[in-house]
Amino acid sequence: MTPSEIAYLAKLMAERGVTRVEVDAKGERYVLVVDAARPEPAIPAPDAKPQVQDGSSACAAAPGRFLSAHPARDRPEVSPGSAIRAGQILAYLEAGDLVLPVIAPWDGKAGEMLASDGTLVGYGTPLVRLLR
Amino acid sequence: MIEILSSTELVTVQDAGRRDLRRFGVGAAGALDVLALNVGNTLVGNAHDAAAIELLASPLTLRFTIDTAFAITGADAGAKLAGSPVPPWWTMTAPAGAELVLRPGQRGLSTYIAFAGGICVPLVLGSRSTDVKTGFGGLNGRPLAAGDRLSLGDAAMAAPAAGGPGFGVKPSQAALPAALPLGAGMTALRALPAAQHELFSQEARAIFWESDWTVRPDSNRMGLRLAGPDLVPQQRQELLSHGILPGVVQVPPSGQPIIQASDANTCGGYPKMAVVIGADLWRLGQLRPGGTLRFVRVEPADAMAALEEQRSYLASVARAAAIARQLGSRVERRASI
Repeated sequence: MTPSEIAYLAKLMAERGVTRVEVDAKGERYVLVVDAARPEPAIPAPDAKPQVQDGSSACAAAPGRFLSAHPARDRPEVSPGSAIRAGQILAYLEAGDLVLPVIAPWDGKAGEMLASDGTLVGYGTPLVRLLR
Repeated sequence: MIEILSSTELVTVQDAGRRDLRRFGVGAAGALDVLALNVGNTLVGNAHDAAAIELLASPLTLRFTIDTAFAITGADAGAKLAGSPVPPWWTMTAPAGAELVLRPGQRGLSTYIAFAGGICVPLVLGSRSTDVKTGFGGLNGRPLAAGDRLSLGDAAMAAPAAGGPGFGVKPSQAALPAALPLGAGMTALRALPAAQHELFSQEARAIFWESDWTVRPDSNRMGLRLAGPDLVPQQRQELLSHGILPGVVQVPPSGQPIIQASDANTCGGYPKMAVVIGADLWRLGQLRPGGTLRFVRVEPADAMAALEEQRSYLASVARAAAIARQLGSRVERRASI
């Protein structure tokens, strides 16, 4: 990897809250670890993706295709304003034939969906707005 | 151990069925949707044909006596574990004492609950399936009832900790698209012409392949009785009874076809119009009374290709489950904020 590629990965890690990345490239192995003891540098928003400023959101725990409804169902798991409980499934991420849950971190209310159905999202992408 | 708290006569223990005994008059029994059974077993690390609970559009409530990994596949049963929803085609670990409540909705027919270790009822003639018609196999040869207790075998792997959200896989319906782009609620069954296909007039054959057929209410695990236009053979032929299999489509003198299912008799004498391909038998298992279907004529090579497609779906599901188990709970805990 070139220094600029390493810098780019490090920037993505900081943005998405990734603490460790291992890369195998052409027989070389790189391990990037975020040093939690140091304060994180302020990183400007990388693009026009929805950024939640005044609340929190449930984020992608893995890369995948965002689904607000289970592939066997028509209705979304939650709609804006639904009361939600910690641990509740809010939506899904489909990666190949794997279906992973998007989980509510705490009790509250669901806000709007921050990703549209069927789009590919990366690790850490905000998916569902959460309101206290 | 699994305790059954409430059940109906449409809830039985089933595995992949009895093989190679039809010549003695012993039917196959076994899951109506073997594909869903297979996926459920894969999700909990069982052999693909381990015994599970089959529900046919029936409610069921059970309780886990110890922490147990389980999977729900097949028709959406609106499952709730200790009051929290469990999505369809999903696996997770139930904590000891938790109740699992299933209240199937309007779509599909067969739902499976597979448990890590598999249900440990005795093998009868090589299978743990309940033969409801004859009354053997499964749990004492009968459907499950309140008060029943089912032992589980030794799990192949340690269950993920209870309390995690678990993970799912893509449902068969989504992964293996229908042969025809039919409307919602319509099922396309790929089929080959069978031995007496040419006994029927060209008109009757055309009607068979081109009509919508409705599943009649008197259908069951033995067979699906269809309602539609009459199919009258060109010449009435009395056949000697001969061996038949699940998937065979017979036309009795009434002219209304019957598709043989898991509990099919081992022989019969009605003319056979067609046979549903092996790779589409699971679709039969999701057709409930009132459902409509159409037969899609294919060649033997298509039937083999469809089986191959099904195998690669199962392999992909197994890979997905292995990945999810590796990453699973570690990643999920950091899902938010």
